[in-house]
Amino acid sequence: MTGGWLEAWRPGPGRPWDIRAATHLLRRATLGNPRALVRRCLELEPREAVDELVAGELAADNGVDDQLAATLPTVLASEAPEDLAAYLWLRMLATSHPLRARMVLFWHDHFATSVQKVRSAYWMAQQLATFEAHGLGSFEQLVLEVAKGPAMLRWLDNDQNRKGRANENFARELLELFTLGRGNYSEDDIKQAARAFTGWRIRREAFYFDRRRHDTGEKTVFGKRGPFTGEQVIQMAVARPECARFVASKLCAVFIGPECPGPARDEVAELFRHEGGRIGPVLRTLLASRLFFDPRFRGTRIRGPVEWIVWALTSLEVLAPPQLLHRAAARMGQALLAPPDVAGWDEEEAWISSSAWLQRANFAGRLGTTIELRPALDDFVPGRGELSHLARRLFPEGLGDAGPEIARQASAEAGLPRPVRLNGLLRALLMLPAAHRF
Amino acid sequence: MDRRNFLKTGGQAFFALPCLDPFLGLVPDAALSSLKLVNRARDRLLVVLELAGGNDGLNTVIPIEDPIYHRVRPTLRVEHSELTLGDDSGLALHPNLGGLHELFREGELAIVLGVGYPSPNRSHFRSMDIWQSGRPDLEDAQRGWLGAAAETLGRRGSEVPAMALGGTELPLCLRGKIVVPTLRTLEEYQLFQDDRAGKANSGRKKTLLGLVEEKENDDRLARLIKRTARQAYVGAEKLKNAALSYRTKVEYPRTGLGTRFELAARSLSSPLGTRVVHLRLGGFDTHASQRRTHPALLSELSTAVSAFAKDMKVRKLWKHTAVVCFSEFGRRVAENNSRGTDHGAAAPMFLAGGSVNGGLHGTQPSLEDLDHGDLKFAIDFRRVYRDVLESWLDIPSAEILGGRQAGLELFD
Repeated sequence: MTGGWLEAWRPGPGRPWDIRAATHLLRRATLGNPRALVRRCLELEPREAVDELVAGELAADNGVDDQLAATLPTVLASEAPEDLAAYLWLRMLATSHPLRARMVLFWHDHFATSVQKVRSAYWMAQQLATFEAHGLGSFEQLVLEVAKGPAMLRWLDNDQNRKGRANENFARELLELFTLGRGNYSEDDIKQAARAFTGWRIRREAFYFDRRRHDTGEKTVFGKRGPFTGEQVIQMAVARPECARFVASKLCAVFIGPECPGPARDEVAELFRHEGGRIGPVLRTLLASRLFFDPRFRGTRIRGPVEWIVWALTSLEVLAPPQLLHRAAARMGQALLAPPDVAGWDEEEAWISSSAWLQRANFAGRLGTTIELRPALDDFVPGRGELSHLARRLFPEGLGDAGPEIARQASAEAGLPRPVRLNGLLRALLMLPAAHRF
Repeated sequence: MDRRNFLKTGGQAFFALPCLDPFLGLVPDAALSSLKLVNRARDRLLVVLELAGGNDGLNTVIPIEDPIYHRVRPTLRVEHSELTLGDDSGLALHPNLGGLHELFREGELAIVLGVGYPSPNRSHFRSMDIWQSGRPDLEDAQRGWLGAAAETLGRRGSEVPAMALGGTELPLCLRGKIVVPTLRTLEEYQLFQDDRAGKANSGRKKTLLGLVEEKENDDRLARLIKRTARQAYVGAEKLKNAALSYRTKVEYPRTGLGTRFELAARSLSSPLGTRVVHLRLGGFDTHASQRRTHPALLSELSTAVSAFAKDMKVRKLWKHTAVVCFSEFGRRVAENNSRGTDHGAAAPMFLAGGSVNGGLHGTQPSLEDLDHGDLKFAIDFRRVYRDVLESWLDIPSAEILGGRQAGLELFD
């Protein structure tokens, strides 16, 4: 793509490919900014760094993804959603393909399916696996796979949808929330589309097409007439220009932020069509673009609870008990696997409320007790030495004018026991306003 | 310094950073009396009490003069009760509900009879969802009737409009788009303080506040974050000081519900502007040996509400307070073979408060004309919700309840 917003960003005087730019890329694309990845980015041209991120090659493969995946059957044996949530947290924190993990979170919010109604950790795990396998691939295939998954069939009652007694829930949300956006279809489209999805059921934990329940009659959807199947309706919906615009606006909201200009979104929609609706190639261009690196759009998003915790832990390069993280994020308003409704979580400023803020502060104030830093803080001078070390991990770009304030606390507390100092420093660093935006 | 100069130079900073003193623990805000909060007629307080498990309404509001009642409940029936409800209703409260009866005599307890909804669901899970969402028409509501109300109250200026007290999970009735804290103690809406840091803690608070001091070149997002953070820190401190400085003169019963009602009283008098509180009393699913547990639960209910009423009167908040009590269904008319009762349908609802339109509302369902062994409902529970939302909280109810409901005049 040439010209306009999506032209490749070319660093130069006044727009350096520096720590600030690299952390911006890592934060938006993968949530965290661990030192090794920042260094690796800066060894490459921005375009190459993006390519490696999308391909999952920027971080060295530590084998953890496979190890964790092998534990999944055990995780699911308990049938407890909290165990699956803990597994998801660990995957996000320890993966060597952080952009793919970030997209799993993105699709989880997009298709907003809640285990509280689905009531099967196994089905939710299947849905997450679909996000992982297809989240950077063809959007049409992703929608198709998700739509046929037992979790979605149960979530939006499509397993009850039958000839003569159509249930419109799934058809409606498919068009309104998953592919086209409100107002880009008619009520008749929904009614007719619902008929196409009849007979989609669950049998033996998998999709089952019940011919007897399927309405084979002619339907009129988007002005076209035919004995459409559910697969065909999905194909038609995704092919519509409104779908490209809808997906583009979601990607822009997440990767560019609320300030993204309309014309830029239009270019991303065009890019989506140009790339045949495949997400990976779209991201390769988007994340390397002038639009993405524009300083006006950096730091314009608010971190949600999961984004904030993942940033903190991956940047500190530590793990904490994932069940703890899950409960903490739930108290902050984001329980993974249980979005509040099919529209997903309310984002950006909706995350900022005084009680949510206190939850974050209290999490930050106790985090030190649950993690094991490497190298351990023993290696650093108490007070300012420790602060410097921790601050560089979280904020490679520097603390700006918050530095002196925290330095004062660090110096004042140099005489306290180390675990006490650590909790204090982490709370101060993680409760900086800059820690909650990216 | 004259006023104009003060505003020009120091005023801005002064108004931007309220209440630094209490935050640094120098002067506790002891002047914070509960009277200051409720200075507008619109500031109404609501406690929603959930009796979990399906309360046996027939042994709560008892048709004590009906021979059918005595016949079909040979072991469970209450033979006699002094707590009659009016002279000719034929109804009496269970003997353990003395506290509620006192409120009834003072015209501060409304008892709505025969409350339920069409096609009653006898699954705890499903029926409780219906009561909590206010939407029998929705298969899986994700938003509670009070969550929706809390959003409106938040927009009207309450910092923390609603709280769920006493448990760890947020009940569906309070779920909505805003974060509603679930607290077991008010201490949880507190900034955690590491005691091991000792004297360093005041320095730490200064640091936290300093990090969110507004600066000249802050953009809109920074200002929003900083303002919220300051609100959080200052609010938590105000709450702590208010909790410390207030001492209730009323003695609450030393029961689980008694403790939670005391917490409710403190929460509703806090500087956080909390207007709605949810409490829960469990154990009502009395399929067997009902005599062993139900009377004690009723006693716990009555003594707790009674103490709360006295406390709110002392705080001069009783006229601004309403307690609404509900359960997910009543129980069957006839007792079963295990000296208990099974899931039923319609049951009475209680509303207590200084501005409640006390007395009996509706008519007691017939014990002869039953629906598969259950009492038939006459009043849709959504009508009660409608009154709570519109007449009490001044919040439009149609969107929340999925339609317009006729009122019941439950409030003065």
